[in-house]
Amino acid sequence: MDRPTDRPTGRATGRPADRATDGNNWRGSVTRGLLGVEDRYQLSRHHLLVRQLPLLLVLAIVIVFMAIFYRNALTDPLFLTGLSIVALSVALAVFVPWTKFPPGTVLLLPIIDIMAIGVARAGTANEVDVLGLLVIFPTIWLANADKERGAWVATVSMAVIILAPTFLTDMLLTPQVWAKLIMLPVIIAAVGLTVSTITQRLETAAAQNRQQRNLLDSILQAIDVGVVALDTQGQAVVTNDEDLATRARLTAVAADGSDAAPAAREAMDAMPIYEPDGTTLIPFDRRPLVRAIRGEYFSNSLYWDQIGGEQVARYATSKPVYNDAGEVVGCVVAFSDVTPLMKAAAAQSMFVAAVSHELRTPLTAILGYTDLLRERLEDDDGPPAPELDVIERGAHRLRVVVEDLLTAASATMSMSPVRLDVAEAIHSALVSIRPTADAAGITLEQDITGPVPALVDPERIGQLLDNLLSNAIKYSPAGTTVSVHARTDSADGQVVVEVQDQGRGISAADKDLIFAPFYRSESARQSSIPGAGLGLSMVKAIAERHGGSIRLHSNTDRGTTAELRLPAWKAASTITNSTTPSPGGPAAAVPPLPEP
Amino acid sequence: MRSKFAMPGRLPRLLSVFDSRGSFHRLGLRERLFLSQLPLNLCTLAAAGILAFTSPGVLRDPMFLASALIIVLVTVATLAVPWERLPKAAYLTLPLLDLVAVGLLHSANAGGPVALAALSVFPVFWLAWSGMAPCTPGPSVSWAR
Repeated sequence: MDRPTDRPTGRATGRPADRATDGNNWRGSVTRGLLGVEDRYQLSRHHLLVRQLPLLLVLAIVIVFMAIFYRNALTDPLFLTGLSIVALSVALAVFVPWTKFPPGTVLLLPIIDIMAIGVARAGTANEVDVLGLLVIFPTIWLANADKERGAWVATVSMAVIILAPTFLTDMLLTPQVWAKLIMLPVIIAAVGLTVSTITQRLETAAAQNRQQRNLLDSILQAIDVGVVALDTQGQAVVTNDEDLATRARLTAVAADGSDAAPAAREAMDAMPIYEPDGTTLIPFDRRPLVRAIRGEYFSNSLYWDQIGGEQVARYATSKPVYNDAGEVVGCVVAFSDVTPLMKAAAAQSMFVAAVSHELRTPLTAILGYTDLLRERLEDDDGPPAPELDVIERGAHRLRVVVEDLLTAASATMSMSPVRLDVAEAIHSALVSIRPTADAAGITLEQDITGPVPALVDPERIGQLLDNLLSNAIKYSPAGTTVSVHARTDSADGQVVVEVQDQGRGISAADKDLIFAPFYRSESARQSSIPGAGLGLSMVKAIAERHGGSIRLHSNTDRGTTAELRLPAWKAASTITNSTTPSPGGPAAAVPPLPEP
Repeated sequence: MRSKFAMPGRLPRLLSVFDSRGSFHRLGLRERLFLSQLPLNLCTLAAAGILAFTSPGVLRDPMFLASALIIVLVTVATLAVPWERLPKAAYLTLPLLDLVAVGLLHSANAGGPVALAALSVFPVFWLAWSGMAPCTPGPSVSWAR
């Protein structure tokens, strides 16, 4: 399989939102520093200062308050010693090359902080006992970096700084003092354990997230399909193809109607894509990315792309992306390269056409000379020759098959749609198939109230209707009715033709395969109904070449309805009806079906 | 009929959060709220235990009783109210109520150790990790005093 070389498979790009928080902005780095989510021990100076920041800020506020309300406490030697130790801890954070020590060493800093708070508290506790609460900040640091162990270290340090002054100063141990001694370490332990649990959870989630992202990256790089995930604004969130991301960006800009839209639209028009016929330009509104951004979901929509002067066939598939609440938050569009497949299909059609043509020539000779032989035998009054009948029947059947093959091959070839009254086409198809229906004992009905103008190729539609009708007759028992309805669907403006029979129906197992070339259902093969299995595949090919569709609604009890949808002819259509071979404008009455 | 809030089935799931492989986010909103409320409950319980020995009078203080009532009500509300059907910010009233409770607790023990005010860190954590509280709730503690 040759993959277009100018579609580089890049790494999946991150979410734009992620990039914003990853950026070196001040708030982001403080948040990451305080949470410590990304790395267990971040050792840069910057980071260590950020870690000290909450304590320093709160300490500064406390000092201001003390300067106003408890001026005496400010000059306490123990309080000043505590402050100097905090300053020492900050200096250590900045000047010690922590990267050269084992990673855990840096946790000495919060322990020093706790001790400093303890000393400062010992000097001021009698006047204002708030400094003990500051231990929460080093506790968060320890529990964050070292989880449960950090929490316990903080708790023990807290107990030490509270108990030490009590015992050193021979304080009277009343129950109130005990409550004071026990309560703070208990709360510090709870804070530490809470923080360690939360960070553990965050780290696990972040690790899982990274793993998922790596997995997604690997999958996207491994597959031979261009994938782009778009948010609701049409911005590419994840892609394995930078070219696709660029196109998605252009498409989003071109569709949003802003000032930049015309330029983006021009850039898009410089990259034209074509319908499956390879020549009809797909308008901007029908481009797969535009449809996806608009919120349409489709699968295997075929189009031709121009890549480096070479035509590339692609299937585009778009599926919605949901969030937990079930709301649509974007879509994933996948593009697979089906050029080899399309080339193989075209080669197959050409081969079938060539072979059928080669087969038809000798068949004509066989049929012609059988006829001559029969005439000569009759002229010579020779004995009857039933062998000739067998030859003739066989050759006729073979010719039908060969002609089917030729039609099937040509169905994927040239086509020129014009304005055509489908009612007229149905009428003439019914007239030509009536002898067959009469022979099979089947009644034909048509239910068409007026002209149904469509934009189709008359010859192909004739083939299509012949096939649908002969199929319906072939697979229906005698005494039943085959009815044809045609109307213009007011909802989507398409022409709808329904061919309904009361025959054997189609089993669910056959339903998916019945449109495949040369496929014949189990029951058709077991019965003596002749056929090559080409009819429905041809019907489908013709319908799709017109931009229409064919669907079978079947029920093994009540027969089958084939629902054919074709593009309607609109007065505004640019194609003139000068080449229409069938007469009758919109006002022309449909002649009644002659009774047999 | 088995109650929708039957604890026996939920307890193992709630405890799984202490296993590092379990995922907090896989739990339902109500279970997450219950877990967010848990640290304050345990600490209040420990504080009440300590106070029962050191100053039993505090436990009969109406402000202490009011605070205990608020905490019990908030805990019941975490599991009993269908938060997932309410606006996203609705459950943030719970930590705010907790702050009121901590303020009352602190006032009940006025003159005692400052430590009880430190309990306010738990509702503050809760508000902070909910990512929806732009302001610091510090003032509410002092108002409650």
